[in-house]
Amino acid sequence: MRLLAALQRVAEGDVLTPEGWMPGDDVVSPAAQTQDAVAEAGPAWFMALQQDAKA
Amino acid sequence: MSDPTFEACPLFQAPAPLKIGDAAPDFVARTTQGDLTLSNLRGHWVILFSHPADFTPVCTSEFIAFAKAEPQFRAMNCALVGLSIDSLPSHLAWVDAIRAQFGVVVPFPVVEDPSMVIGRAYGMLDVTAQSSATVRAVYVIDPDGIVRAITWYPMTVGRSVMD
Repeated sequence: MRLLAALQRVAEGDVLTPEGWMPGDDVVSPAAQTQDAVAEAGPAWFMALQQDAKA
Repeated sequence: MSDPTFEACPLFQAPAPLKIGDAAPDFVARTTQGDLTLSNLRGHWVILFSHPADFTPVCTSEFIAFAKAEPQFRAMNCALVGLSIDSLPSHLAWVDAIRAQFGVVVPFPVVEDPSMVIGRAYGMLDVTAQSSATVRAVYVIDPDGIVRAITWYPMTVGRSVMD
């Protein structure tokens, strides 16, 4: 059921689900694709957890 | 000096996907902890897990979770081995960035597989694939080198270490 819930959340778009994600947990944005995006995101640009707007 | 990655088992010539009960293809490869020969881990359970790419958010979350759980796996006589098609310098930069940004030391080796020889030997990749972007596989290998479980996840969804 965890996997199904994660697949359904990702299918809604714009976010990915990190390791062990359960409904209501934080999600992550897709990886930065440009130098500007990396610079804006800061040193931890490659993994930024964020509150799930749909939680 | 030759690249030890290319000494992977000759099964890559016939990359049929592995099945439960098959012998895990042996390989010698460069890792973040020096050269690794998979068969040297006989006598231990091995979890060989691949990820789509270094410096990506889902993979990073998985590596942090695997790193934190590594003592539990070790207590169960189980060695963790990560793998992706990224190069060794990329792996080294990524695990160092994980340490610097999240305070987590990755205590297991991460195999480089830029030629996809190992990935193809395990059937992690479609033989016609031009990239490995879909690979998020786990192979549970018993102490005799036999594959006992296989899981695949899409690149958009993180696995659960507790699984």
